[in-house]
Amino acid sequence: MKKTKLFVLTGFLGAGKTTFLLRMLENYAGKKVGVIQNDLGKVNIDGPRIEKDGLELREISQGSIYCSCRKLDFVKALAELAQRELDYVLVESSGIGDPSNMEEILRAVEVLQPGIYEFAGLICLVDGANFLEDRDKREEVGRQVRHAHAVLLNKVDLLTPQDQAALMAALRALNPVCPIYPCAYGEVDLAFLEEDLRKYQYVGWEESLNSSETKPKTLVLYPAGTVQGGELEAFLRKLAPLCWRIKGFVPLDTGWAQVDVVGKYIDRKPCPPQPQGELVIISRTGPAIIRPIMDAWKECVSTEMKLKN
Amino acid sequence: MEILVIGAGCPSCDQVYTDTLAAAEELGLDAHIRKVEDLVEMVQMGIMTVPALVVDGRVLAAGPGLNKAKIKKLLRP
Repeated sequence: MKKTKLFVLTGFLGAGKTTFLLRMLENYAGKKVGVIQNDLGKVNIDGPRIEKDGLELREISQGSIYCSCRKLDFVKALAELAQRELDYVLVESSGIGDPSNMEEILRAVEVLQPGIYEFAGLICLVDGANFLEDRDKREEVGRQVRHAHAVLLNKVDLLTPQDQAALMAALRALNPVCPIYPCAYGEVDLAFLEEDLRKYQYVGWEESLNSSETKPKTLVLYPAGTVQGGELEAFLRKLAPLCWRIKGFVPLDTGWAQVDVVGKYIDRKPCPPQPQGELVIISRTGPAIIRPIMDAWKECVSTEMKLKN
Repeated sequence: MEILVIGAGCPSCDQVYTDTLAAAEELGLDAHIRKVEDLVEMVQMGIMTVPALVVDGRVLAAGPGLNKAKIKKLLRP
């Protein structure tokens, strides 16, 4: 029987995992594909971006799939998809996901659904613009690279050749074995997916760093109505330094916008109308971010909003 | 009597283990109490929701909401 090829994407918040996942889905058009998407918060902003007819999508929210609090849900989702006779299952980990215990998860799936999956590897997306800072602040970032079978060094369009060389050296120090593909917008020759990536395994499996204690605080902001573009921009600029990531959809006076904030990069682009406006905010400062969000919104934006856990 | 507290290592599962130890002591049970945190062992036992309480091979409860009072009720001979 033909096995289901299982790819797992990792990479810190804003590294470009969803964009690369969309590329993989395009590449596997016509194949039977299942996707497991993992998000830290209650709201999965990226789910609707990838949802399409015939795609088996499972969403696991409110914690990392490698954390003790969620890993059984991950095993269940993989076991469930194993019964669908799929060609591929693609997993998009949450940004702080530390996949060091992936082998334990695969062994548990094997007990429930033996012989279905061929684990094809962990592919780590690296945010070229923010990696060095992220690596120094969150230990999971280093783990993602150490355990990767392939690294996509993304956003190289934002780097000087010197920056890129320094990043390559930093990545090589973490993982001297796996191939590293520099790219922008996740655009890389996908032929590497056909290779046996498992031969690039550098380190053995270990306990994941993910736990309920290390999970960053996530909040969702719901604007009560249409927001002025300039006001939103001012709010995001004020808040960005306090956040790992801000993403979502906002109804602007000029139409709906998809918002993506990673580090100091604020990206806003038009998007189709959404059921409701919502911004997921992943805090760098824990619950202490609540007051600055309220203050910044009040100062910059004339529309009311609600902030929820 | 063998009591297994199944949990993946999160604080709420740890609390159920502590509550089970206290409940067994208060009931004066002669029980061997073990915590199961191994994912493979869990699925081999058919446990897909944690925390779970297994007594002599029977699953008495699984899922959130277990506390000392409920555990005492389940363990009472």
